[in-house]
Amino acid sequence: MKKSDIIKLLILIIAVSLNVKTMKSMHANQAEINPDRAKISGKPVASFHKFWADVKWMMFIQHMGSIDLTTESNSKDLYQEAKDILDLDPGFYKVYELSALMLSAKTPDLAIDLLKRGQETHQNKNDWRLYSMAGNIRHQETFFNKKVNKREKLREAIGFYRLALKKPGVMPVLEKTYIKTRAQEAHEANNDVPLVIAELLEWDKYVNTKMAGSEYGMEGEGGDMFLSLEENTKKDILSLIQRVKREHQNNLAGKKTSKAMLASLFKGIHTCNSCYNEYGAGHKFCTDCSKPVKVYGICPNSQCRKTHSNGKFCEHCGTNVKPKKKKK
Amino acid sequence: MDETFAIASSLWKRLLGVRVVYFLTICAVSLIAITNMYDILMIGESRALMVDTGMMLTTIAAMLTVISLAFDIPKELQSGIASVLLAKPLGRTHYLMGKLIGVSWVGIFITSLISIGFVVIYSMSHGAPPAGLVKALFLIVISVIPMASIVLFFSSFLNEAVAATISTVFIWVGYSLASLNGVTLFDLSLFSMGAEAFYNYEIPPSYLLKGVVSALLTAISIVCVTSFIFNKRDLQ
Repeated sequence: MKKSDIIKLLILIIAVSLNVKTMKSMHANQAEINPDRAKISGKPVASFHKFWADVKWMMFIQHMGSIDLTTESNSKDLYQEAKDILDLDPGFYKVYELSALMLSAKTPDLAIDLLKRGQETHQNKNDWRLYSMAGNIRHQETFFNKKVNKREKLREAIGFYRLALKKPGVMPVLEKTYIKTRAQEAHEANNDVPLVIAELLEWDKYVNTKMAGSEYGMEGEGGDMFLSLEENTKKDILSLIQRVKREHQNNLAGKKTSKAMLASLFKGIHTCNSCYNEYGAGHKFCTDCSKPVKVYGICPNSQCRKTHSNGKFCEHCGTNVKPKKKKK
Repeated sequence: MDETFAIASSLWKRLLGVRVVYFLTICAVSLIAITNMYDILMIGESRALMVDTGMMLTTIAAMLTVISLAFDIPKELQSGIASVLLAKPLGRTHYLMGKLIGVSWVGIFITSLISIGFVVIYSMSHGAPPAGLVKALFLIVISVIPMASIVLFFSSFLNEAVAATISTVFIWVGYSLASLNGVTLFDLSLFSMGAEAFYNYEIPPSYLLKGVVSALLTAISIVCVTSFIFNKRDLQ
């Protein structure tokens, strides 16, 4: 063997061993950078998995567009096509969203299967929409499919909503859906409890646990996961309390919960004792039930007696409307 | 070393002197630009299509460029040009290295042209490109080196058609190796980070460095093996 050949052989051995090490390290890096790589199918399409997924996505859209009425048979075809795309690109959010919507009517289990798959991907695991959509599909089954076990489906929906509410950027409206579904489940479990009362009780539990900062999954590792109660939600709770007062006057649980919630959640507002309708400054009678209400917001100056805007001084006469109490 | 670069620059001049190269480059960039019109057909996912098409066309351009070597070396061997060149004080290993460097330059130049076109189009349609996209393109550009070395290997002992076909299959398999459960000796999938670029995953600079090192080590090891075979060959 020539000297130059020995040198080449040595270089070859060193280069190969170093390269194997480098490549192994790069493989490890790839898995760290994008954990979804492990979920990509083993189809030998060179490095064109994502491009192929795009092409299949366009074909999938064409197929969906050609369907007049979803049946179990074409739903299964769509499911298979969606799965094929996701094998190539597990992070493709639109595929989860659209295929789940298409499949939810006839084959909700297949739709849930796809959404669960999406929830397991690194790319979409924090996308609350996938969880909310799964909850909606289970929830809608209780309306459209009379054969299903309603409580079971409702419990599943509640589970999905709870997970959705833990995710960042979740829309506050989902809180309402979550509570309504919980109330529906409670109502299914005990038909003696009217749905409205069940909803109020659930809100009460929800608000209390939220204030205590535990259970319901509302507390998160990060502060942004903790949802604050929106003004619109508060308004909804107040109208629920009013409804309970109107429709279930004699329900003790309803009465007790309404009073407790008014005392805790609606401290700053004035409500009619008779119908719990909110009234404004200067009102003498409730605009909803015509009963007299406790007047507030009137200037104490006997020559003025006009409604002020709750500042420190009356805007009409300058009288101090919030005099400091004298220290004894 | 001067002889090696003389061989490399001769290949560079010959390949880049062909006008169809620029025409194909313009076609590739135009195709990338056209994907912007697919927004409705893709239901708002035209950015995905643009990124994936850009990555794919850049990779294919790299493949096609290096495959040209599979025609160049056997042709020179058959016509006797190689024998004339090797009759001069030029080692066979230098000849091979010259060819590898030459085709790698051309490949890097063409893929860089397409990459620049792609980045400009992306910026015009979707705003500033993410850093990951530029890094992923850099990896494709670098992948020209191991691709060229495998073509060099086959073209050193096979005829044009067979060398080109087997090289194409090898490169294709090289890109699919990760999905075929990771044989790590010739794994081009390490240079394919299109999905990571699209989903804005952070590609660390150390990964790029490892990519360059791996590309060079692959080329060195393949050139060593090729040199063994080529030196044993009886050239007329």
